[in-house]
Amino acid sequence: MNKFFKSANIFHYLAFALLIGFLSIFLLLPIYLVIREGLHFSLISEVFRNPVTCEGLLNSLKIALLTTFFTILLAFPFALLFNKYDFKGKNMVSFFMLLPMILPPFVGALGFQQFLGHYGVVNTLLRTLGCAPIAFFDGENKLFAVALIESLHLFPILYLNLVASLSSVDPSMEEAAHLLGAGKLKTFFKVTLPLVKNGLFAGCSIILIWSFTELGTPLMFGFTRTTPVQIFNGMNEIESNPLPYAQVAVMLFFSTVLYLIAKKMLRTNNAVTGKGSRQSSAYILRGSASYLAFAAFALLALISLLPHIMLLCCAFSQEYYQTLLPRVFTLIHFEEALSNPIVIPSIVNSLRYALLATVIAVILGLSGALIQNKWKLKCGILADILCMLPLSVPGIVIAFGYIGMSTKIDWARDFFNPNGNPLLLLGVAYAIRRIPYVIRSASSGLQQTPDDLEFAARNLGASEHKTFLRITFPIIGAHLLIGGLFAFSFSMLEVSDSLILAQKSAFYPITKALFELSQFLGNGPAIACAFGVWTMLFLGSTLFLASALAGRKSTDVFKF
Amino acid sequence: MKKILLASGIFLLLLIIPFVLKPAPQSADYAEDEDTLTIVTPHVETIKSEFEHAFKEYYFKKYNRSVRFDYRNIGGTSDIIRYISDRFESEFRHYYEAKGKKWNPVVQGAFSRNQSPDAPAEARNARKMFLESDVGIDIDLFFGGGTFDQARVAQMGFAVDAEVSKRHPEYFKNDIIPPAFAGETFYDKNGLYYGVCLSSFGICINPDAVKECGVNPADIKRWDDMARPEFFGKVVVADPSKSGSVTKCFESILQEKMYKAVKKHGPAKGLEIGFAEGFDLIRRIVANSRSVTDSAGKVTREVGAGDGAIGMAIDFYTLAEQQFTSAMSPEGREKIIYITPDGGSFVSADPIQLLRGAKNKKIACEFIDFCLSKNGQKLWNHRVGVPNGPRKYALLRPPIRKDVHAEADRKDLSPGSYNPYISSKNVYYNGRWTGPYFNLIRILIRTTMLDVIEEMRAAHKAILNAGGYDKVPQAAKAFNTMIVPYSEAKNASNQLRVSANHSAVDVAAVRRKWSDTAIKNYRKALELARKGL
Repeated sequence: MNKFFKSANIFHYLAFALLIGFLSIFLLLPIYLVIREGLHFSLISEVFRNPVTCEGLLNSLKIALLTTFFTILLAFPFALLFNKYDFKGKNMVSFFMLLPMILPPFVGALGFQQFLGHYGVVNTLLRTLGCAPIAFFDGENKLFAVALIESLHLFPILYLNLVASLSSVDPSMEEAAHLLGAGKLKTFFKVTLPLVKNGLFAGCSIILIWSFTELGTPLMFGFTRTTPVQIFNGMNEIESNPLPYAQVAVMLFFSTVLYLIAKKMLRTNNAVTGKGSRQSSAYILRGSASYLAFAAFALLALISLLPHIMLLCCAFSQEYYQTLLPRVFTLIHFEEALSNPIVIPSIVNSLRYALLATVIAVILGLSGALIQNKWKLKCGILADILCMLPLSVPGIVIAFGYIGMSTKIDWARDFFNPNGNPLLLLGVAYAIRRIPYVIRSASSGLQQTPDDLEFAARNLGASEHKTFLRITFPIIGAHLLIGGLFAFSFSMLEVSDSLILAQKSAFYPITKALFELSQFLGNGPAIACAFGVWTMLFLGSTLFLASALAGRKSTDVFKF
Repeated sequence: MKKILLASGIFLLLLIIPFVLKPAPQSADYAEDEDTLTIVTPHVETIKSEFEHAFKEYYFKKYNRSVRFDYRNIGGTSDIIRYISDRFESEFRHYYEAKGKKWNPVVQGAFSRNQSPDAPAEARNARKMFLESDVGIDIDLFFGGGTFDQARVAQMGFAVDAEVSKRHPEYFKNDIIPPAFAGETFYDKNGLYYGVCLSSFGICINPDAVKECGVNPADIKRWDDMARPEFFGKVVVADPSKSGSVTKCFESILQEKMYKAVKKHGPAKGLEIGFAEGFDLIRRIVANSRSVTDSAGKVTREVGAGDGAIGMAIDFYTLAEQQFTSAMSPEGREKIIYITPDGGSFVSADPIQLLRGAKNKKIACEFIDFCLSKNGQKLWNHRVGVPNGPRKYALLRPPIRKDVHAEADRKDLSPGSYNPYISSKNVYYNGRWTGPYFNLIRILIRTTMLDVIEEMRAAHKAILNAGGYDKVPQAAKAFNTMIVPYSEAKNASNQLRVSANHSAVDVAAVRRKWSDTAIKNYRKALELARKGL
């Protein structure tokens, strides 16, 4: 027995060493090569002495906290509604909730502009009603607007993690509370909430760090006094002023602190969860209540999908200006976009890069989750923090880090050289940035897996390997599926690595092709919108297919 | 099972559509690629595609050989320069170490910078060794990116003489390609870069949005109009720290004001006054802005959509947007109009350069020659389909050759084409006045305007609410306080350079001091304006 544990331990530490080694080569070293110039105490102290950079940091923190708060307000009630009740159309709503994530880059902002712009849909409606137009992008309350838009985009991450956690809660716990006289509210706060803290943490930690480091939305609203925008603005003069590198280092530090605080606040006692013991049973809504429940989901989906809908209108419009709907519809932009020679290779390339990235991210994320939650290695927290770090590193830093690896480090020269086929390079680059989604989902699943079932299997003579495959893996399958789907979707839409590392048109992924199309003079944005719509639909259909294939085997999350 | 079939059906249908719409392969004029040309460029796909096609045809006719284009697309100009620098450092390091020498920080910092005679011998030797070497990065040409950035690449020693003047001395006559025009250098006298096309800055307006502001679009004629109070929150400008062309445009505003002030007050006082007046105008334009975009192309889009009423724009972006929107409108309505400011606008050249150690030097030089030839030049501004014109995309940019403009038949040109040698002939530019301070100008705009734009807009709005700059002179004085007067420009410029006794931390501290002072000035102006002073 002792011998067995010793060999198991060696395997665990070997897995840990491999994970840390991988992250050191593909994450830490590239980041260090780029930001080392900023790693001087005097330069870092300059970030705190400058009121403009200080305020940027503070605003970014405010955005992160406000976005996380809004996201909880949005996602929790809907996750509860989905878990506790059966209603007409329930099978469809899971799919709706995934869609806000698939807004393509570069053209996504055009959707917002068409909806909220000066001659956009809302202001045209206001003018028709005799009201003054509203300057949505120039308002005083940019912080609030940025947080709201980000939460509408990010809530699926929390929603899906919560649904997965809620579906794992043993209903007998809640029933016991009711029997002991606790009301619905008290049961929620005293029983349900503590049991789903894992899911809450999985979603919130990602949203907190994502919104803290988010560049696109503040940039779209012209909210320049945030750290990511300041770093973006400073990158062009980096040779004469390395302050943005110091800002990256500060942002990494604060992201880690935020993550650790969230982890501490939402720490759970695994023993109280009861996954696998008994499936929760949903209350069946009938009549108008059933329709109302569906309408609530449909309304949320409609609001969060407005930019997507606008993008669709732009892609089909010949002229869309000062009107509620396009004046004349056309297919010309689709014809132009889809017949461009860079388009078809980009589709094939993106699928290859994203699939490879998903496989790598799932392997690494699952390893990280096992190290901390199942094998409970003493240094597991290090693996956990390192796996979360990619969320807080600007994409361009990692991309240039890889270029740096190919030029500054001899042994890394061939692998990191982007001149050839970048399949492995982009697969790894995408995967590194997607590990956080997988590790959080997998950790949440593992924390809710009761040890009793595994102990029982081991007592019956099953090996650790067999126990994992036959007991643990099926239980955390839904969580891994969520992490994998996030990894795949976001890899398909990855921008920075794609722009810098895919240098030849034969190897462009979809996002770089979108960028190139959007740069065409005159009709560029229109044809990029058309390809963006195709990308959106294709990604939607991929998620639909993946969910349909997995639906039977997974938990409630993807039953549709 | 039904759901899986449905999902698979939708997935396959979407996957098939692009393959169905795939264009039929064009007839191959050339059996297989025999030669290769590797180009790094920030140019858009339309330019790359037209030049590739035209050069292939030209090369095949001339040599009966085909050429394969290996375009490297790394990102924007600054990304390209960072990439080129990293690659040269890596390649030179290998070369240096292969000679039995030890690579160290002194060599690393010295090989790409000109060294003064009193620099350490090791640094001077490293620089000399690099300049004498044929170290390359597997890229032949750098195409596009603006003269400012290509001059930086040349200064680092990454570019070499393409010797066009030896092969085609006739190109470099004043009536063909002048060495400079309206203050802009068109080619490097040592052959390190050659301008191939031009662009100029002007004003773009959305007539509907301008009318909504209570201004007649026909009244907009000068840069000063962008600072009109009616346009508060309606101006769109691009960030000069992200583009040399945008900085050039701001520089042109300074030049115009300095020229007028020198005429009025003489050079001694005029330069100081004109520089301050130019910055006053830039400050009010930026304070009027609704957004500061990260690229010049976005200005046109925001104005075209009506989110901004007026913007500072590059000609070809606006012309393309103008043509596209009017073609798409059933009534041919123009949503955006380009205006060349009174007194003309500065022109800026977009060059090409041969990189050190180019593997395909002969073909690369041939490509540069083609770009500067009459037929190559016609690709820029001729209509699609005319002889020697572009094949599929109108590029809408003025060629650099004067004779191509002079000899062109109007009906062969793309709509909106113009001759910058005529429209900008009255532009006055004195390179000595602002040329040495190009970097200072963009950093001053960034640190004292863009980084503190919230405070600046608030102060500007308070002054406008109080009746304008004339009604609250004390507030106006605080708002317009010069952080770096012209007399201190040289010293300030030096403070932005990292050197042996001026570290990066010192540079960051200087920039912080300027931002701090600007914030204080704007807050003071806000307070005074609210008091009506």
